[in-house]
Amino acid sequence: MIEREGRNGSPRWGMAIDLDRCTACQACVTACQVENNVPPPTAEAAAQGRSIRWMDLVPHVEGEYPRVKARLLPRPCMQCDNPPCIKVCPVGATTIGEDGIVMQIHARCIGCRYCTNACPYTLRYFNWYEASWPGDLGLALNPDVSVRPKGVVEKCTFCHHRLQKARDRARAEGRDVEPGEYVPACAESCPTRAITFGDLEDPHSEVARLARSPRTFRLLEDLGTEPKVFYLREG
Amino acid sequence: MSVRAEGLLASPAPGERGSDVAAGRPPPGAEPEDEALLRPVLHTTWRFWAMGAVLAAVALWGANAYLVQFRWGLGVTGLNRPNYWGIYITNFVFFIGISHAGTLISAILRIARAEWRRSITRSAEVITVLVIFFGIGNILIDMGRPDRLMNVLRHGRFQSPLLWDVVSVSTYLVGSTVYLFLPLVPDIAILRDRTSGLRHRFYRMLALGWRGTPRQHRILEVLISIMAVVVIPIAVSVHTVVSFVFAMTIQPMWHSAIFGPYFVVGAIFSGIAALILAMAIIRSVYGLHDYLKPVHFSYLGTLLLVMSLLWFYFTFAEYLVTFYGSEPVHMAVWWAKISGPFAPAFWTMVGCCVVVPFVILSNRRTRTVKGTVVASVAVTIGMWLERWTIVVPSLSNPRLPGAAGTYFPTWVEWSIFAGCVAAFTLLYMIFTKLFPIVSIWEIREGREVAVGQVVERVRSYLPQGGRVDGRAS
Amino acid sequence: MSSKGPVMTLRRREFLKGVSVAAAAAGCAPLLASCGRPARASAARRAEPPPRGAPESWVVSTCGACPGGCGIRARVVAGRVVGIAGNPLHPVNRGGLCPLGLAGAHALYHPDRVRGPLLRTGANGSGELRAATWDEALRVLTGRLGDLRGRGLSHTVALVDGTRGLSRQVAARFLAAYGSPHHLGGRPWNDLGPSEPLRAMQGVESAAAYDVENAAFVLAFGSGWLEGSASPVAAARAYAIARRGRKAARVRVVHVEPRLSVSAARADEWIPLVPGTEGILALGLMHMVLREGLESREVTEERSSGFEPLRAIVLRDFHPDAVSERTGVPVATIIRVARQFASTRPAVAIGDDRNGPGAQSVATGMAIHALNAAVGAVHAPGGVLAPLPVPLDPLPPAPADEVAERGRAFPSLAAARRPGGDLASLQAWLEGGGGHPVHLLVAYGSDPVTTLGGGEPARAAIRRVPFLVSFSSFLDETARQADLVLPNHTYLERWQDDPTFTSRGFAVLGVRQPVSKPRHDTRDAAEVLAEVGRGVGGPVREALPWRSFADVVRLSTRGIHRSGRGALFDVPEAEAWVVTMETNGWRASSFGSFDEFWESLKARGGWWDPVYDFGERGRVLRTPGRKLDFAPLARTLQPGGTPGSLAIAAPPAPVDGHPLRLHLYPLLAAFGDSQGPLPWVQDVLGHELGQTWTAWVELAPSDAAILGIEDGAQVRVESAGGSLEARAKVYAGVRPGVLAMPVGPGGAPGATCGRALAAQAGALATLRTAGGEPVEGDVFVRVRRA
Repeated sequence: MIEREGRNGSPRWGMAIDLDRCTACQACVTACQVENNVPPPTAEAAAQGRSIRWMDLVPHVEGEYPRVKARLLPRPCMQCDNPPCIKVCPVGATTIGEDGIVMQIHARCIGCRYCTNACPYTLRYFNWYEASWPGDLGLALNPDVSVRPKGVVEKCTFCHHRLQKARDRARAEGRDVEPGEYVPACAESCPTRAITFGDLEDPHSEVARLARSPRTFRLLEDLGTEPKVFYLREG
Repeated sequence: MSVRAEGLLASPAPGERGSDVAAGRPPPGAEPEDEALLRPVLHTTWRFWAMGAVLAAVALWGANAYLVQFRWGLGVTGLNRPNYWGIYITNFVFFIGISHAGTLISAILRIARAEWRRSITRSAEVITVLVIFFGIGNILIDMGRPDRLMNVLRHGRFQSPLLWDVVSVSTYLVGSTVYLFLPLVPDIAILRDRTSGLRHRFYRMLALGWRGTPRQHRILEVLISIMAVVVIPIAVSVHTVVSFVFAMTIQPMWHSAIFGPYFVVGAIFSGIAALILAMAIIRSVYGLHDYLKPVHFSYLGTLLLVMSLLWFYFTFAEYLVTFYGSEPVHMAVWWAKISGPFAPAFWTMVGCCVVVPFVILSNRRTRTVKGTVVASVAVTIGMWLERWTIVVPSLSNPRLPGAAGTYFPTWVEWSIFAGCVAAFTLLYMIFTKLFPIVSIWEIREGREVAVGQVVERVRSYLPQGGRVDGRAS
Repeated sequence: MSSKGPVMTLRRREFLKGVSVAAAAAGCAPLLASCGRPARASAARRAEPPPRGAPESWVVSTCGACPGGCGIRARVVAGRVVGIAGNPLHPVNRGGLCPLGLAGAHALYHPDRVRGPLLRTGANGSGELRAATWDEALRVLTGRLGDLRGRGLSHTVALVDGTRGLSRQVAARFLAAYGSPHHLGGRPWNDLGPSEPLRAMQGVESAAAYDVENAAFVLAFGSGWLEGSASPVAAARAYAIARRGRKAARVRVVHVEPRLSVSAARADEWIPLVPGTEGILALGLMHMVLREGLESREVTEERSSGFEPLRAIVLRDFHPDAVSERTGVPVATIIRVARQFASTRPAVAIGDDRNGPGAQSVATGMAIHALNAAVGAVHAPGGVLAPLPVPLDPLPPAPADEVAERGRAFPSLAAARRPGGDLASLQAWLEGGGGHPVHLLVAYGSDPVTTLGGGEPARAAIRRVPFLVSFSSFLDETARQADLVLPNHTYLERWQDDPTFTSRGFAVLGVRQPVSKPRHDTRDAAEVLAEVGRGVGGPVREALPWRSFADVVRLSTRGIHRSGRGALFDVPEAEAWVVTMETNGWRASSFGSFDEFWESLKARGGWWDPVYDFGERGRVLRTPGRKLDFAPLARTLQPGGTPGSLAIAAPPAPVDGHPLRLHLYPLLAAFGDSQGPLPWVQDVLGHELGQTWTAWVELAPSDAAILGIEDGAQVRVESAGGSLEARAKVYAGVRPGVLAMPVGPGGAPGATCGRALAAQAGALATLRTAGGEPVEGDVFVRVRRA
């Protein structure tokens, strides 16, 4: 166990996404859907804007030919330190843990969708129908993640189940969770290593170093939501 | 308070004329006065049944649509990401707005001792009570997990504006029901005395032993006065809190400090329109031309005009401030309403809520029964569109452009909307069959007591031949 | 739509049940509405995850979803593949994976898989198939093959091979022993095969590796190299390293393409140009390089041949003014980029080595390669490399008898070297251009109909073969009209070797081993070939003596073990040590006994050799004199040559009324090995343009305004050769005058999950130039509202 400086108790999990490395391949999107038992999308759902993508690629094309610029931004839950979604929930179905991860309690959610509307990033998702898996596709379900019932809101959890597993393992071995032991599926699958994940409280962690980079910005920073997802500009 | 003549409102003894009443004929020798008010309760035509059947069919169709939604999930609606709220929330705000027709208007008129209120308060209060159910109902319909409603009590969080809504609306429902019921008691007693069998038992139970004694009258007057005062802040709070559901988020064109008063004004505005419509229908269907006179429509029309201008003032302020600030995320919503996909709804709203009422109601010659009805239809439509253009465009144009999307309700949503309107109308009709829709005792009181009081009161306002005025009651 | 009946009844039953339950709950009898349920409610079911605490293991293997050859780790719980992650030890992907690979388990469990052998029942090409046993199916095939061979018609059998490594060798042996010369390449669209420019100018049969990781300047020509290359993960990884993952300065990337693709968007500069003029631009840049004397004298004067004639032509014909006129790239840009390219060391120009529709012509490829060569970027760090081969033991030469000898002697269709590849030759042959007939065609790891662009012309051509055999795991376009479908295992159920290379030219061997038991009654295609060989008898029987393909893979790796070169896959930190040891003449790794080596190989996922010897010129230059040969390029440009896409003088004129030039581009993670439509992948493809799950074409806002086409409108695209329907996407990132269209084999119509980008592929073949040649280079189209 390494004594880390500046730590007071719990880690604060955060993510840094280096846009200079990202090639917008969307591996993170699929990795997330598969890892988290998101039901297979359909053409109808896509046409209706109901695809569930906890991790999404947000495209933004601006300018006119030939000075067109296409920005492609991988966008997980911002895991705000000051999350607007939690404030509005009437039943406390969305919570923020000591480690800063904003979670959804699917068993308690009443499906009022106030949180989906309060989120300035529009990154909470709703189960419009009962989840279903054509044929045998359900055999590929991840046993660590529950399948959400219809009518509830769901969101990115930073693959919290992986943290739980890592914690269990660490506890069994009588140690802390080591850096790199807990990584969400999106970060793990990223071909370009554009997504760095770790403890923001640990000043020596890669993610904390990147969060301090002069290239760093956060989405809609002026809203004061204090996201724990940091982006690093190109160039 | 004034002293009342003993037995003024006491009904004749029950034994005297039971069968005639049951047959719906005016009993010989009975006072013909105000009998028209009892006729709808005691006499039912085939038209009622036909209309009732049609409305029941529509309501059942709406119920069926809801069952489809209950079975398959909210996917059967047109909702999506980012348009997580749509017609149901629009209806919720609209219906809760309409509910301000009754209680608030009637309470204000009562407190202001506007004597012309006497024949309209009841119909207004009924709207309130019934429509609140549909307001609440639309929230329940909108829920993804209606089966988990109890979680609101079990895990309720007061930090959430939705909980404020729950508290405020349920208080309003209770208050309005009491406020509807109290002035109903003497009329129920009249009906108790004129019916037999099951209906008699029903009215006897509800009449709470009303015999019209001066003590009972005193208590009733006090209770009504208290409720009239209490219900006003509740009503104001209800629509303020409804607006807070939106204003408390930081979404563009929702996050506005004037939303509270803006919603309250809109609510009263749409409530008056709904009241005028209800009155007009009652007047023509039940032939109550003597009770709901052009003057009532003219006065309410004037009130509607005032509210229209007030509403316009708020709307203008809201849109001008947004435009002048020109924050891009706000302007995206702004333009979506002014010239984008929501422009038809927006400009229809402006026409219906400002242009039509102003043209019709500002002119005494057009402020007739017909004129006010036309204006009210326009305002009702316009105010529904106002709710629509507040709820949907902000969601359709989220801050992050990648999530933008469009929304249009599906047949399920339209069916449920139609079902709500039909069920509300049906319940209203049924109410008129159970209770007098115009307060009989208040009319009588007006005729027998208030006329004198008003004369007295008006006189008290005036200088009276050098005498020092000290007699105002 | 034939499946609509039963689906509807099921839905209604479910619906009624649901309604009655709800009605009972509500205590009233609702009117019944028969609509409103989700479209997929009946076809799908809720699935239970495996029980918690079930036995769990991670199995290392190699992805086969596309030709990229990434290492994977499959998480297996209670026998079910519940997750696929990248193998962090694999040098190609180092733990990363693309959407296609991540969704791999869904190909395994896909409801549309072929569950056992199928035999045709209806008319030829009717697509009416019935289930058969393996015995019956193999009897039919063995009978056919034996009969043809007996009649001396073994040369009328052709095999379209989309595999590589040992499965390819097995097929080659089969054909050689059987007596057919027609071993045709049928690689999926984004597969990386031998590079034509390298073949022509270096005399080697090798793919081209672009050492982006070490380049300071990357000039990418054509369609997106990040999304459309043979190994998207490897390309993306190299890009990221060159941007932010190395000590050297951040790479500068300039992308040349008619459309703002993802690669173009990620570049520092996007240079839009007229479709099909990349080669001309390359020569225009070369003109500036030569004129300013920025070329590598060492290459042009000593280590190459045939440069002077080329120099003369380039300096004479490819003046920036002319090039600008033809490509639409401003003269100033040409001059600036040429100077940057020649003066930044190392710099590399990347060609588009894709296969199939929309690929760059060989001439263009040679022009780009010549540009690289002229600045010394061939076989140099940060340049174009010819990757090292994996030292697998080759299979011994196939035995032959008289029939085999005679059959082999026939000229192969593959010798034609048509621009569209072997399959284009096959199509032309079948359409009447060939000599002898083709009596039996085997689609082996390939889908020739789709690779030819799908659509009616491709289907019709393939239908001319009297007997068509497909080994596809899914009912792809070819299998649909086959006479016999012998479903192969998916890549998660079979053994295979996967020889590939990294962008730095290192040899890599991935081992593919089953992570799941076969889900259905499928068999390994190589084993089936062996069994058929046993049935046919004679030298074919001798050529394929094994029963298990796993043994073939295992035994071939003896070559690596014996060589002692390289190392088993390991953490990135181990690379430096291996390099140090090897370059100093030691063996880096102690492999132990062969059995130990084999076990470690399986456990680590494979072997690689992180050394590329730039001194070894003989391997990469097989030309006379071991010199890079500019002559083939010069010949095409000289009078009497066929400059094709390099013809600067005579720009192709638009066909009457067809104002737009067609630009075909590959989609990110386009389908490789036929997998069936995976819904997760469908949801990702085109997402950057908001165009998932559909067939679309893109046009510039200015063109759309002129044509009166709104974004999202359904349009009909017509060329002189054919037409198709698609949704219009008005996209500011398209060069005016261009109609851009993504290509990629799509899903089958009527697939139970995942619908189709199929129209793309299906209609493509009908989009031909006036001359009837497959789409390539200059195709003019017109668009109107459908």
